[in-house]
Amino acid sequence: MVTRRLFTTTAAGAAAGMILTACGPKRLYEAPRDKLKARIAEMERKYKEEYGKDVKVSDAGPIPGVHFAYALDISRCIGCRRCVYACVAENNQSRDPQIQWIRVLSMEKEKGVDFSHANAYYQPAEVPEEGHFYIPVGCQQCEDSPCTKVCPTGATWAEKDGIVVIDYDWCIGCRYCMAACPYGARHFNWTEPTIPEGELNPNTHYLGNRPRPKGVVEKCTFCIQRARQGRYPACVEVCPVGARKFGNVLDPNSEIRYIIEHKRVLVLKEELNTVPRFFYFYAT
Amino acid sequence: MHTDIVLKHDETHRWCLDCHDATNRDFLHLASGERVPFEESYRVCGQCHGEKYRDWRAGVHGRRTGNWNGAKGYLLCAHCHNPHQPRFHALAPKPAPRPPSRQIK
Repeated sequence: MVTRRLFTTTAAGAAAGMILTACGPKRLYEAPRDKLKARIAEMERKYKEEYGKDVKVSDAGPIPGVHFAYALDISRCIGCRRCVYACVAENNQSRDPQIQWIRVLSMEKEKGVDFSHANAYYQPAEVPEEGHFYIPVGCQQCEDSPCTKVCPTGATWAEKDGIVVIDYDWCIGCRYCMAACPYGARHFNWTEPTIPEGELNPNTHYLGNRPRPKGVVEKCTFCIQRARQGRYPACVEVCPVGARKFGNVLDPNSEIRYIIEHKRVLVLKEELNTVPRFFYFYAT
Repeated sequence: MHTDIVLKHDETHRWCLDCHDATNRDFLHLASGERVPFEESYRVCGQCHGEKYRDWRAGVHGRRTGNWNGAKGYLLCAHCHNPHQPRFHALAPKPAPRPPSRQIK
């Protein structure tokens, strides 16, 4: 039998749970500034102790009037994986166990874009291989992101500039988001991540590449620490064939707008209606 | 060295002086005869590769570095493509990811 007291306590508890879940980014942005600053100072001190480097943890918010989007030229990509390793170094991903936010899939030209026959483990002496093309896949920064909807603690959300971020302090490691993501873009720290001494990138962001603890999920953030400083993501700058393009879709003169307006663009798994901000295109 | 240059760039229809100025070798020239310095070599390339030239000017063809909303690092055609042999050479790929293992350390 449900007593009156039991009912009220449970209801109150459930309501409190709902409020917590609904908080999301508010916790970060509506926290008193001095409290956030103190938390960041504490974080930086801890990182210095651990890595022996002056680590800067930025809390830069979205730039007004900016909506990020990314485009990748499938007709150019040669599958060299330079982007994968530039990303690992820039974003302080664990080397062992290995976490890589970008996965380059090799596909056969005869089969077209076909994930069931894609191979991420190709290792020929030289790329591109005859009869193959390559599709690097990372977070698609969906506008209607399935991952953020399932998070029970509101630890992941889409920022105003379109970047889907994770607050590692609130992630409880349930990995619902990994199950929800149709692109396999989220990665879990099963153990304490390892970054070789001296290889830590000290330019970090609170919601991005700051060193992660064990037991949290991580993913691509369009290099939030660089993008919000106005810089290109690391993968864009390293790509030897210039296949990667990045910019502000709200700027009519940006290269990203030119691509969306003039080229044949596609998004992965369009039928799922996730509305990715990551476009693939054929320039030729 | 000069004698090492092998032309593999539509070589049945092209030769040196289609691009290089005949009297002043520090310059290139356009089909119109206009002299062009090497810093503006893209104008020479753009005569035939108009579509690529257009994409490059829009920022779609070729690599950009620097800032998406500010100063950008541009590369000219010849920074990536050898004008005498413009086709890209194959590259050795970086190591493949490790397949997931069963045990956790």
